[in-house]
Amino acid sequence: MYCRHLTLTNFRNYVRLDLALSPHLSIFWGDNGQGKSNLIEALYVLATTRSYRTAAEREMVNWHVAGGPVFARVAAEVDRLPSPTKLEVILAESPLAPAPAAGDLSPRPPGGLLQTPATSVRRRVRINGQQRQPLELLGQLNVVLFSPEDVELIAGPAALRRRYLDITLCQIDHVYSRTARRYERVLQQRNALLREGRERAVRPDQFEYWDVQLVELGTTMIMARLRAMHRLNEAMAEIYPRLASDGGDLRAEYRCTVPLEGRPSEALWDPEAYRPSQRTTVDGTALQGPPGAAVVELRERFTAQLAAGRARERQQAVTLVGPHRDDAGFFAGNVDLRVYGSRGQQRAAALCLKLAEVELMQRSTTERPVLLLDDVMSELDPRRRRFLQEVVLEQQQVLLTATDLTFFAEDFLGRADVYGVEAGAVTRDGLGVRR
Amino acid sequence: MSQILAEPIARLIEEFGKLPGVGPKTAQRLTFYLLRRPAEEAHALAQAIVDVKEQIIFCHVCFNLSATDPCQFCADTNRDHTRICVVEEPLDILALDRTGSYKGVYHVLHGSFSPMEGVLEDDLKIRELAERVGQGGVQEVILATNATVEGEATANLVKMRLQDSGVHVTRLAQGLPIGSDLEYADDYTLSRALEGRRDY
Ligand SMILES: Nc1ncnc2c1ncn2[C@@H]1O[C@H](COP(=O)(O)OP(=O)(O)OP(=O)(O)O)[C@@H](O)[C@H]1O
Ligand SMILES: [Mg+2]
Ligand SMILES: [Zn+2]
Repeated sequence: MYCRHLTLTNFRNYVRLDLALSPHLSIFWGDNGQGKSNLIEALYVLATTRSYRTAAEREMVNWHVAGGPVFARVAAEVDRLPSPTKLEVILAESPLAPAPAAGDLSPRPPGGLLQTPATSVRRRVRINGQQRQPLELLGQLNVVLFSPEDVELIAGPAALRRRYLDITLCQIDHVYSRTARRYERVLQQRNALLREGRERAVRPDQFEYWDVQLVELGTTMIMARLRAMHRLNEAMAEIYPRLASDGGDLRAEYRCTVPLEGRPSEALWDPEAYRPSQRTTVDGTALQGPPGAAVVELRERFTAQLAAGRARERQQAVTLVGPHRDDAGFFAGNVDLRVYGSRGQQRAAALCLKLAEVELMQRSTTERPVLLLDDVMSELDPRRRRFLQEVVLEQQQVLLTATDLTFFAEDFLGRADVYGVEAGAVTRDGLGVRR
Repeated sequence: MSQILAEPIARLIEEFGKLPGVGPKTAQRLTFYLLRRPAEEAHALAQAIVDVKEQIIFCHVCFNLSATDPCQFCADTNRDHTRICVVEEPLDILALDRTGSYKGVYHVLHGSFSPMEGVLEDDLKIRELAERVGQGGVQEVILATNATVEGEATANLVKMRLQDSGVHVTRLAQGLPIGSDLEYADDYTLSRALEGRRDY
């Protein structure tokens, strides 16, 4: 799939932008602070409904907009199967700040994909001119983003890795996105029940429903993540040796709060064993066929682990087992890159992960995603820059930003549309300026 | 605002503004609309508000809101009192009864099992339902809670508490769109859901 036209209104420093894009490589070139990353962010918002840079939607609206209703709009025409699609995200100030639901005191972790941030600017989504739920936008335009901050996926806190897996899976798997949303709700209710249990008597069987839901939905999420990680590992095994000079391999390992030991790992992502997606309804309860053996086993282990931690969980009044507590580790050879990796190694690993994600998406959706590379060259050594240019030319649509064109080979530039970006304006004379 | 607007106007705007779904703009619009209407209309509205507070009571059998006790459904001998349909809110009765396909009686829980909103089992009329069933003469309890996570949790809880009574417990079929409130379901969908209710 590719984005053939992008229109921005009042988005960040773009008051108005109309841009036709080629299905191949476009390079956006300009000095710091001109709006290159803002362009990338706009496409990311269209793909995921959220920014990767901020949880406050207000920040994305051009701050010079005065009077009238404050709004920003990102719209694109996407060439995809079965037919081209028009996507729109409108960020508009609502007349009044939404009041929090009565008694809703649950903490909301910042930046969660599935939370509604507290702001008076609200997202509206339209697909082919029809108003839709934000969730329905997922999968309409698939993107893989690499930005300098992605090094944190390897080096940063676990919450970032969970969020990354969630966003990736939500784009390729509708069952996953609905399951994850329902899981989030069940988790919040269950945590609230644990908190209530400190203040008043709660009969233990009041947990029954929430426990069963947590285990069922959580198992579906864990299985999907394990399968995704398995595919990412397959792709990384191909990519990493080309990228790294050390001749080692890169491997991601899912760290699950439900013990997975002692079972042949293949069985977990064996498509026959994984059968929870044949749902008739989206509520996560009605299954057509019986669940596969791996699902049954994982559910049993999940239930047992939940029971084993019951006392601790009551004491802390939070749910301690489940995909919301899982993590992933990245290993080069046997070295845990989060702990021992150099900054450069961590960067290369993050880039490798993103390129593997392209393969994962292609396999899951049969369409190649749009690759967004923000400021990727400035951080790589010459060998990795060469490799990256090779890989980019193997892709379909790529949008790449750079402050310096001397990083690129002549023939690479020759195959690209080069644009100049200056103070929120995009011009096609990029190459002319360079010479 | 209180300096610019006469006090009674400001006060009405403030009162309207407390209503769910009414923002400051709407509150102003409603206030000035009423100002332009004849006095009788304003009196009728005020009286209706007072009456609803003073005359509406709970039916002691089904906990429906009603002007009489027992309510019109519980007092109606033409209805099938061996079937009880369990709903979250009084408005759900309206939606179900409109279909005409249900001739039994009701039981209103007054909410759903939602710890986030501080609503636990004891805040719902579940014990009262169990007692009602325990008195005998009931053959079927139909769980018509919403098709949301909380509605399902509530249905599950009620079923557990009725287990010992031996009564036949059914649940509305999933003809309802997931995540929807009964109140907003169309009649056709509701009729179908009622016909297709299943053991639970
Ligand atoms: N809401 C907004 N309204 C107007 N301008 C904004 C808004 N948010 C950010 N900007 C401006 O956008 C510019 C940042 O753009 P962007 O992050 O795209 O820069 P860039 O071209 O990627 O630069 P760099 O090379 O440093 O990464 C800044 O000058 C900032 O002042
Ligand atoms: Mg930038
Ligand atoms: Zn009654």
